[in-house]
Amino acid sequence: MIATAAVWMPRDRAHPWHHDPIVSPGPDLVSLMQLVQAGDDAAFAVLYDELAGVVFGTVKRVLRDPAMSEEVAQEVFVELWRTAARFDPDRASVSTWAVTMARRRAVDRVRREQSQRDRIERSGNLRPDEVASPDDTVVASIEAERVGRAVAELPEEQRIVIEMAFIRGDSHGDIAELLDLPLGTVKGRVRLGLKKLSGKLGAAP
Amino acid sequence: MTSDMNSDRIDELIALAALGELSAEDERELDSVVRTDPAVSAEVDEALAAAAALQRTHAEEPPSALRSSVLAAIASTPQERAVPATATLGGERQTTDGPSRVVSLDSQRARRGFRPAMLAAAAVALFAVGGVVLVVSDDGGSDPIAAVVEAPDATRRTLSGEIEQLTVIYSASQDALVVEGDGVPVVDDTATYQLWLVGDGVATSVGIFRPDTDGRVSERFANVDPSDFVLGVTREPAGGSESPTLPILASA
Repeated sequence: MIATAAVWMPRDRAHPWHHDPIVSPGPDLVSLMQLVQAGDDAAFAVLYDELAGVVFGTVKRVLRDPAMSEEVAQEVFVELWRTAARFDPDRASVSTWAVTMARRRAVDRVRREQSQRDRIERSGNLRPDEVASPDDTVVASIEAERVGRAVAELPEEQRIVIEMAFIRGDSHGDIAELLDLPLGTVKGRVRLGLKKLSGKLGAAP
Repeated sequence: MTSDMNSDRIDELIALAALGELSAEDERELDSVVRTDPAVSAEVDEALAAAAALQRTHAEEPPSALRSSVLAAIASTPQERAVPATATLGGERQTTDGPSRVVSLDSQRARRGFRPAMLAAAAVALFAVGGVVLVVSDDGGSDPIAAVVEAPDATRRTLSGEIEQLTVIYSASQDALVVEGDGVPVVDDTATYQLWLVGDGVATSVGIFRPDTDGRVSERFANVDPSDFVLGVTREPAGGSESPTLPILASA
């Protein structure tokens, strides 16, 4: 936040995704988190192994730069350790908590060190139809397949914005500039797209 | 949605939350709605879960060296204690890093050349609450920061020193103080600011705070009355310190 910057974390709510789909059939992340909350660094090492890929992937998509991504990923894990007491399994899954923190941390770093123009140039002037498809570098998992199908079913204007924001890691300002859309339109499409995805994924078995 | 807030604005804030792009002001605004509107709270949860599901699908293994770096870093990083169950999920904006400590400054003076004149002028009666635990609590109000800032009995003290952009607002009726600032130098993750009450050579930690990326500070600390004490701010390692690390960057 906080502090650095503001930390918006998931709130208290029983939600069908509050299990951890990335871990099948790995360890129970909630149990690990309970150990971490008690200061168990060995449990934290296991937790790191489970979350490193999603945390680093989330950060790197936003930052592009591998070295900076490594640095920010470390910050995320240290924050996870430091603030472990705040995690409540009734509020969100461990991975949602970690990914939300990683995204926010990466955005903070962008704001601090990179201009929007730099990032757009780094992105290689991709056209919207060149946005990575859900098949690119996808982690082979049931969740990935399910999410990919749900994204593909979105109206095209929402799908493009959702993929740019969460698959490619663009900020809404980047997206607005690349697609030549008003900022409000981009935020509206993000909101609608997420709402539809939530309905599709939440309703799935 | 049952909130009085414009639904378009709520949708905008939810989108920004999912994007990780809420400003501190945005966050406070959204937090105030979520506290009072379960429907909005549910929508925020669902949006964050959907965004996280999308981002989980494209994992990328980090360099192997990161693991050892992280594990080494946490070995020297203290953990926060559990926060009150009612604390806002605005996270660090509403919490402290654990029990406050009462620490003699005598050793600090001797070891680090502490400047007693800085504090002696305003130092007052002996601080008689040794060992007290100053814990941030949430009173359950819709905006606990605004409740202090806008309280009829709120009093302000502007801190001066190397950092000149900090103000402390105290309300006896709210039994809390708020630290506010703008343009405060940002600290990286290895550091934090810490607010102290100082009186008669004893410093008591009120808690830690950090500016957002734009240098804004808005932090509430409950169960603390600074009326008879000098306020001091130091820069400390992440997680805060048991005793102030000089220099004092701002005081009043």
